[in-house]
Amino acid sequence: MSGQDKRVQDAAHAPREDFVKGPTVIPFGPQHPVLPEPLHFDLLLEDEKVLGAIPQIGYIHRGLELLVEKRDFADYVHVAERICGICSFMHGMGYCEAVESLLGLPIPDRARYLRTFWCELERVHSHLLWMGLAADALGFESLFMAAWRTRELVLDVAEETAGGRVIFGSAIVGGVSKDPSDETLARCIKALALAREEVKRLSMVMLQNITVRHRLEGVGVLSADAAYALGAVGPMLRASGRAYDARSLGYAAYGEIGFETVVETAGDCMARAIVRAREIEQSFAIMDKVVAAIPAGPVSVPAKGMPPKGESFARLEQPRGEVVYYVRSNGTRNLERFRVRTPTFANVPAMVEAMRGSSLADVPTIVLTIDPCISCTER
Amino acid sequence: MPLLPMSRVILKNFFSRPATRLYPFVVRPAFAESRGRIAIDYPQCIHCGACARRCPANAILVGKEPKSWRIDAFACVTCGLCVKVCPKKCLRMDNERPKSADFADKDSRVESHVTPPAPEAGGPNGA
Ligand code: SF4
Ligand code: SF4
Repeated sequence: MSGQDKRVQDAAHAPREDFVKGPTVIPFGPQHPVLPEPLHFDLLLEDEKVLGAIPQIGYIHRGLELLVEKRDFADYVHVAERICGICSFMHGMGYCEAVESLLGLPIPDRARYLRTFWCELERVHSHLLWMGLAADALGFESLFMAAWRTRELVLDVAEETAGGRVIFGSAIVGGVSKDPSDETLARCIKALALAREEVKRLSMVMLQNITVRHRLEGVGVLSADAAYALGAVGPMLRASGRAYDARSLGYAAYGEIGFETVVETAGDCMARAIVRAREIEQSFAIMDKVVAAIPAGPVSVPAKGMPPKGESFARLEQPRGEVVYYVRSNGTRNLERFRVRTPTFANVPAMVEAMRGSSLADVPTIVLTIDPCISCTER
Repeated sequence: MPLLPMSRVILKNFFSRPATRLYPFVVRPAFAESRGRIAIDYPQCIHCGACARRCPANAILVGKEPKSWRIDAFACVTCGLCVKVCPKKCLRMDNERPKSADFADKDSRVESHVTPPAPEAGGPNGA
């Protein structure tokens, strides 16, 4: 054995403390095979164990909030819708709700019900998208394909009722711009019943699959107190045992339709998956109720005049959690400030906490179970 | 273990056609409500400019001298407001979406109509 070889062998067998000083830093993202979103982490590792993570965003900032100063307040809803490609309708609607409360403009009942319908449609397609991506990250390709095939049925309903698959384009200040007939809605409910059956089966396959359970159970545990203290929202918070859902505020038609907040208590990745699976089922039920109870009548009222000087808030429950919209007007047709606090932004600290102590191989799973949407987060 | 549901799916997949279509040879017919391309019945247009003023995306340009009307299909956000405000009802929103091949060259996304300044009324409608 040469002297060189001996030194290498000694180093390999040396006590760890002597060999490495401080944790290893592994860059993760913004381009990563399992990560559909441009999110970057510096993972601090000791062996395979994650000691901590330093998140960094800022790859896709588009400055959409500033555009509110340049656009007519009624036209800006088209920009607000383009904040995100998944929660597009809810972004447009949240902006409208904030502006409507500023204007003191009550919207027609039918519009409120239609908004509820589209919100739930979006939740279903978002959660199915998540199911596909999560399955893909776990290497469950066939479930990925099946989930997205089912999502296609939901997107068809979106196009049939709102006119667009991704950008619905149907929320306007003062109501909605499309009025699907009752026959169309009945046909859509039939189509959705098919999707519902399919989703039931897919959820069962995903949640009972032994490999999936091995990957998700007990991974990335977030306690209820930590989730609350770190400001987690949506399925992340509800999976940790806190029953908070912004829909209980009763905006749109949720007050009349009613629903039960889905809660799980384990706080691990599995619990987050279960919450989403149960929420899809619940969304289908809400859509059924909406179509059964939808009143006839106009779907929009004209938004006349300027928004008065002042500010207002709107809060909605997006698929990823609670989102907050703030608008401030200076009395002209162009608003002065528009601000969105998106759910992913609120969930990042909780995600970092959930990663602590997990192994490197579990990091993608944890990131995926918060269902990050960086496009919203950076706007 | 949910073996049975998946095996049913597998069997079904053996005997069913693919879930995808052979696009662009097979195209799903558009829904009545689908948002597609804005089309104009140009001879009807009186060049009032209402559509251009209302358009949130500044996609429409109406010229007075010579009389012209043009739309940038890429700028249009298919909100449908121009259709609503047109006093002559000469605009409509087709439910068919253009194929991307239709936009193969750069100028094809702009649809442009010009009325040549003819002394008599009833000139050609432009291209
Ligand atoms: S549909 Fe909307 S964006 Fe498109 S040209 Fe008409 S007004 Fe402009
Ligand atoms: S609103 Fe109608 S008539 Fe007026 S310029 Fe536009 S297309 Fe022509």
